[in-house]
Amino acid sequence: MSGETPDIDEMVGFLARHGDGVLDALRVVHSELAPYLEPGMLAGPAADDQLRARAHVATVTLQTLLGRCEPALARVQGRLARLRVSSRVASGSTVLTMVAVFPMLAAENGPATHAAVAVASIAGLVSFGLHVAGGVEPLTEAYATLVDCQGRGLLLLSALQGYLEHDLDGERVPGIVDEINAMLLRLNRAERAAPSLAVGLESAPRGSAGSTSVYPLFKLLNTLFNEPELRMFMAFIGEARLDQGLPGAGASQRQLAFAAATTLEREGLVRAALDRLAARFPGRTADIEAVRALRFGAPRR
Amino acid sequence: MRTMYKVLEVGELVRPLTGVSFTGRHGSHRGLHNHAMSSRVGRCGTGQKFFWRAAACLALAAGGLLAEPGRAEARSGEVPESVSQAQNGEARCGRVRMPRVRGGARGGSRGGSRGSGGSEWKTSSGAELTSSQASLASHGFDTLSVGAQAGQAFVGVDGGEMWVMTRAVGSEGEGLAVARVPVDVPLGDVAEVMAERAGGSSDLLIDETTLAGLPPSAQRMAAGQQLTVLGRDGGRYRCIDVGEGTKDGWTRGRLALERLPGLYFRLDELFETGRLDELMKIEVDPDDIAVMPLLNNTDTLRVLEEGAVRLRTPERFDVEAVGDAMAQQRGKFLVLLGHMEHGAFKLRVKGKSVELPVAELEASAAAHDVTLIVLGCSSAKFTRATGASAPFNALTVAGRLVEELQRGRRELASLLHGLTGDDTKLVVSSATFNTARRRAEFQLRQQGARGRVMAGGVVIVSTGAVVTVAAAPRTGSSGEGPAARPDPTMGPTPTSGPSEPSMSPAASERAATAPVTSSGWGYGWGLLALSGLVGVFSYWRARAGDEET
Repeated sequence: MSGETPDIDEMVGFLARHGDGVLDALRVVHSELAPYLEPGMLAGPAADDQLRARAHVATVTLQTLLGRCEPALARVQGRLARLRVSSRVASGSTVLTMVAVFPMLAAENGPATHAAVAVASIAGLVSFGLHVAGGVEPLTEAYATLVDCQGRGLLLLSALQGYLEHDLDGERVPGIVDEINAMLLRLNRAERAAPSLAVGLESAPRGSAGSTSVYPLFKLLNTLFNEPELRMFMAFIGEARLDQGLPGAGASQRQLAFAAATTLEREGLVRAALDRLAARFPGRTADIEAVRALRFGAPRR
Repeated sequence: MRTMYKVLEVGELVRPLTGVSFTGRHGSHRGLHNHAMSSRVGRCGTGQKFFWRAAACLALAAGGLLAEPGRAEARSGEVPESVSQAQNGEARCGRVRMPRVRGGARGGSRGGSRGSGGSEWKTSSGAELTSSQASLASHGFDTLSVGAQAGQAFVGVDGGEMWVMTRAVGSEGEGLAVARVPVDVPLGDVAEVMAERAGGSSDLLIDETTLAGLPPSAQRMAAGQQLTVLGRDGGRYRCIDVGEGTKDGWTRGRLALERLPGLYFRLDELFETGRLDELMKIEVDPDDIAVMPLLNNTDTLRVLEEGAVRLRTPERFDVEAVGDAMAQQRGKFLVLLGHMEHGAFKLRVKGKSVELPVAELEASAAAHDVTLIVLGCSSAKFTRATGASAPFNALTVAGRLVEELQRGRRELASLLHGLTGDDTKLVVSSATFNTARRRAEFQLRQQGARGRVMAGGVVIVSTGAVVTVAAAPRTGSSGEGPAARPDPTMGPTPTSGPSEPSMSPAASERAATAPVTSSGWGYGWGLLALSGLVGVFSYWRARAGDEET
């Protein structure tokens, strides 16, 4: 809640509804943050400085959101178009009802009167029904919220990825994470106000395969290997000797692990690396599968 | 930073538990008694009494009589013969079961000398003990391992010193290990040292009265530690250190006993709240409980709003607006739910962080005669009202709250217990129970008043009762709908009628200005209107009679 511990509760709530198991994977990858990766768990204590983990949660949330925004926008747009048509029909029915009143008043009790009564009744019912079923405004708001989230989400994501992938200065990060959480708060509220938005988000297929962040893989490599072991692992993972592209002896363990993760991502060897890690560390299957789920998307349940 | 303590004496007595009399050894140890218990057990030899109590508690604990059934079962095969004998020969003295000890006195003397009759004291005086080190080893405990079977140590107080006794296995067999430390040493440090010696956890046993009599500096436990308190009612309760918070942090030193599962009572309030079984019977009307969400977590708000809970959402998130919303709950309960840090509810409103210090909210609640239940992370550290002992999940608690409030009128303790869980423990305040009791009494009076009204028919036999029924705070399940927003049009109404029993002046004032609900007014107005109609009818009949004549 303070500057050092930005809120993530709305992001977690969003991921719980639309994350397709991403939250489970995050709990494994960030076990230190696991209690706060439960819906309804508010900000951690001020001493909690797991800023990088929170930034990663924000990144994953944004990627999940952006992956769903495009198809959800298309769905909402389609609904809006249909509503526009039905709104015109409703207006026409209203006019017809009003027009039908005149023959009813003018004509004697005959077929024309009966027809007018029938037309007025049917048109009135149609008009009433369509107006009741209407609700263009919430959908318009939902659409605007989605567009806003999409635009701002892209900007915020790039800012966070710079921090996570390149270890940039984290001074602005709490503010960014807070902003993302506030954005998700608005989105979650919009979902409550317009259930069709929730339906749109839920039914939308994931736009991206998963998180493109190398952070989980970096974290995994950093915990599984020491420096020589990591160099050895990288030497035999691909056809070329990838260890030769890693930083030299002066690099720290973290730098080395980060370079290895980036290299694997660049070479398209993440899946192969995870397979090999799973075979080599059977006791760490849960951790490895969590990274796989975050990278390639959790299997649909 | 480690605290250094002066160890007055650390010793080891190696001898079997049966066939032991401490009389000889400690006969010269004048004044060896538990001050806090001396009044109740005064007829027994004091020094002897203390040791008997300690030995008995340890023996019984080891035998599982004081332990949970599961633990007792698990240990049943491990009870040493000597302990079984002690149990078989138990006697009653005071309120603690005492082993009837056979055998002659093989006493020893204190002060580092070897005891006579084979008992061995390895003592040292004036040495420094660091609680972080197993430094007891250098003070006579080197040949001793604290009995792992029991894993419990009894704490007593004598003559300004704390005596910690535990079953132990020494070089010469099983016996009691005794450590003496100044009485102001925090119990947490004592437990830490004993745990170090036990090579695991060590459960400290202490008498409730003794615990209450310890100086504040001693009433401190570390995180995760717990104490077992032998209650005055014969029960056995867990005790934790809730701690006391300030704006800059919090310190330990406020103990609370788990008198009901998941519900902790502050040690310093136990005497005010009265007997436990009485507390258990106090009922509360869920309609008297409203929730003020001081958070903006959409999931939690959704649960509360969909759960037909009476919400008192303030117009703005500042102390003044919260106070205004509190006024709607005069004389009743208000649950504040949100995230707390450093004694203040924190939430983000329109991109800005907002803080609502709980102390100011409490002051506002007192001004409006509202009893708070403060459900914020570790709120019990910062409030004397009922609060949570640790961080919890707001969504989970909101779900439990909705469920409990939908279950109708029931015991307050049961309702509060329903809010607790593995992750949520509540430290309850006596004020919460007092308010519930007051409300229950007031509602009984109301029912009486209503009865008089009905018995008197429509004609106003008891005008005051009618007005009281109309103007009193609503009872029963009728009235405001779910998640009612505060109605700004609802104003105070002058009333008369019975006031709440044993009410404070503020409470009397509250009764006079209690908010009037629509259902209450409807009932009162209906009766008044009906009586008016009767009057008009009587007048018309009278006029008709006059005209006829």
